[in-house]
This record gives sequence, structure tokens and C-alpha cells, in this order.
Amino acid sequence: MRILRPAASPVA
Amino acid sequence: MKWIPSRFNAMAQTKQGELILYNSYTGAIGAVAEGEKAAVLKALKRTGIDRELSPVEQTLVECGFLVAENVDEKRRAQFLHQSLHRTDVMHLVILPTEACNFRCVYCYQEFLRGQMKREVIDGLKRFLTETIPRLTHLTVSWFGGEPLLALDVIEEISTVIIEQTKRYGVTYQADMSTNGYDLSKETMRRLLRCEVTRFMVTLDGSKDVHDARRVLANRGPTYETILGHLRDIQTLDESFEVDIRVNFDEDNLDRIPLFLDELACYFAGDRRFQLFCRPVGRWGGANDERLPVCDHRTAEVKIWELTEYGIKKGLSMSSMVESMLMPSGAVCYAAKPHSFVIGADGQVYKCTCAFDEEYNRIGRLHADGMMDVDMDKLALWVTSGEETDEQCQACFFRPACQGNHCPLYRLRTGDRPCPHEKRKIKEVLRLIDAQSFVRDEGKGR
Repeated sequence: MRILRPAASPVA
Repeated sequence: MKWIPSRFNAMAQTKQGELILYNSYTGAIGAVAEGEKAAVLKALKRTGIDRELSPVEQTLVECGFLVAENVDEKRRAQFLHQSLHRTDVMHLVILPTEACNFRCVYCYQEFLRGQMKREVIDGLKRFLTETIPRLTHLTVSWFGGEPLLALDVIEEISTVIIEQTKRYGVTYQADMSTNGYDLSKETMRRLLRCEVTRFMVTLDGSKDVHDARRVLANRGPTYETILGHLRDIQTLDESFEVDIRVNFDEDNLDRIPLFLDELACYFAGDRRFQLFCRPVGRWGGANDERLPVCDHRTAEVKIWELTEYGIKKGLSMSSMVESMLMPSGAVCYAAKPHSFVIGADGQVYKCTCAFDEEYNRIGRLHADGMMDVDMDKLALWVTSGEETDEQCQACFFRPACQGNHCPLYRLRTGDRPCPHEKRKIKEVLRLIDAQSFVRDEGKGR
């Protein structure tokens, strides 16, 4: 899988 | 441990057969090639996985596409929503003047108040001096009227902001909505020194189209001046972003592709200049009933058709579109408790699109730096999102917009203000993927 945008820490 | 698909996932297929995955709680976006597609689709079945994860399934977990079965995702979203109510982060929209040198056909403003008064400037400087030490982050949006008619006010206030934010280690970012007529290279240099790094400038088509819609107060043309400035600014080495906003309706819709060809001649490959297409609305101006606005269905389709055309020609899509897909990314400033619009006369509002509404006039900034706020009016704007709407609570896009994309729309109509990006999420994901391909081919700055 090609990651176009990595996961963020939403609340932070 | 059992893994199940997140309730905040969305998925699209590209023409090439790739699968694009998106999760609105983590903001992650992934592209799955043909060879992995079957395994990924199987992993995302509702039945879940309760065995050791394969490497691709592990990636799905890291991106948030798969979550542990015992996770309460609705509670996650609720907590995210509560985090908007922090008081150490502030967003101010400042109107250094409410006058404008343009008279655009669809404008909703009345230009009743001119340049910011001396006592308001002094009051704002005192307010900022007292408030900034308590913040961790400040965003300022320079708005109007036409803010560049009051560049001296912008510089005077920016001096205080930059000095105070540096002294107290507060991160600062600033943007500006300008008609671009006075955005010369020298003015741009002055604005960059004021740490304004993001601009929105509107061009509604090529010269004849634009000059019939966005005219000077004396009805004179504006296209060549604005385009000349943008091309001058392009010769600067500094980093900044300019959203070139294109407002479309039935009058100019068919001629926008030709205009995008022209824009691409100048800006293709320069990622600082970005395309942002939006439909003209009946926004409250004197000409509202005469505006040939597109019906909603046409507008929803054309936003992304035109954007796709621009990307194919080498233009960049506005980064605002991608940021709208981040957690909290589509929440309007008016829905945040610590966000205020400061009028040129010291009137404090929540929303920049309804200056005449009594419920939008929530307070006043005084010369001594004190801000009076009517808490009941403030509460109206900051508590009318997902907490009162069960459909928003169940939506895949909830973490991104929280039912708060446009509190004004909800207050006026009672309807859900879903963002354009959510309504056409599959098209948006395909465009993000398409743009990544253009960039991978080595174009771009």
C-alpha cells in the first residue's frame, strides 16, 4: 500500500 | 484481539483499478495497487480478523482503517470535538478596513465602515499584548473589506503580534483574503515580513469574463493588474501559498476550462499557486436575485470536474481541500469558542458572512483592550454541531467536520451543513491520488 498521507494523532 | 473496519473509513476506485482508502479520524490516505486489492477488501469486511495480522493488515491498523473491536469510536469522536474548546489556541479574523475598491457582482458586504479607528487599533494591540502570553498558538486572518487598503494598520498590529509571540514562544500563522489589485511584489515582501504566508485571490475567468464580474468601484477592469501582480510575485524565492479562487455560475462555467489553460501557462508546476473552485451563492448581496447560480447538483459536480481539469493541466489543487479531510479540518472558525472576528469599529462577530445578523454581533473590543462578549450569543455558535444532530454523529466524516462546517447555514436553515468534500469524497480522493501521480513524475517546485 502506498501511503499518500500518514495517520495523525487527532486530538494532539 | 479482534480487528474490525473503522466507522470513519471511506473508499474510492481509480480508473486504473487502484483502491484509495481514507480515514477521517486519523486523516490517513492510502493507495492500494491491483495486486493487493483483494487482500485489503477481505481484511476490511465487517466480520473482522481475529488471527495474527499480515504485513498489509498491520499497515491498515497503523493508518486507522482497522481498529480493535473494543474501541468506542463514537467516544473518540466526542473527545476530539471537546478538544476544540481549549483556550490556549486562538483564531482572530481582523478587518483593518471595511472599505473596498471593488464592487463584485455577487458581494454580500455593504462597506458602511471604513478604516479601523485609532481607539480600536490601540484596544486590539492591548488585547493582544495581554492575551498572547496565555496562548500556545495564534492564527490571524486578515479580511475586510479589502485589507490591502489598510496595509499600515496590518503592519502596526503585526509588529505587536510578532514581538509578543516570539517573546512567549507562541506559534503564529497568518493568512489574507485580498482581491489582489494592490498585491504588488513590494507589498508582498512587506506582508511576508508580517509573517502572512497564505493568500486567497479570486480570478473568475479570463480577462473579459473576470472584468464583467469583479470590477473597481468606478467599474474599471481589474484582471490584468491582478494577473500581473501574481506573475511578479512568482519571481520571489520565498515560500508562500496563493489560493487562486474561481467562483463559477451559469454565466462563466463553460469558459473556465479555457481560463485554466491560460493559468497553467503561468503557474503549472509552481505549487505555491493553487486552484480553488467554488460555486457562486446568493450570499446576501444586492444582486442576489439576478445571479445565475448553478443548481446544487451541478455545482457539486462542477467543483471537482474543473479541479480535475486544472490538475491535468499541471496546476496544483488547493491544499485547503486536503486539509479539510484532516480530523477537525472542516470545522469552521465560527464554531470555535476561542475564535473572534474584530470589525474596524471594534464590533466583535463570530462569522464573516453575516455582519448584519444581530445574533452574530456578540461583543465589543474597547480601547483599554477589554473584550465584552455576550455568552448566550457565543453559545449559539459553538454548541450547534454534532451534539444536536444524530445523523452527524453516525457519519463517516464526523471527526473532520463535527457537524460544524458552517454554523451559519445550520442556524439559518436548520439543515445539515455538509462540506462539498464530504458530499463527493470519492472524487476528492481520486484527485488527491491524481495529484500525487503528477508530483511523482518529477514536476513541481
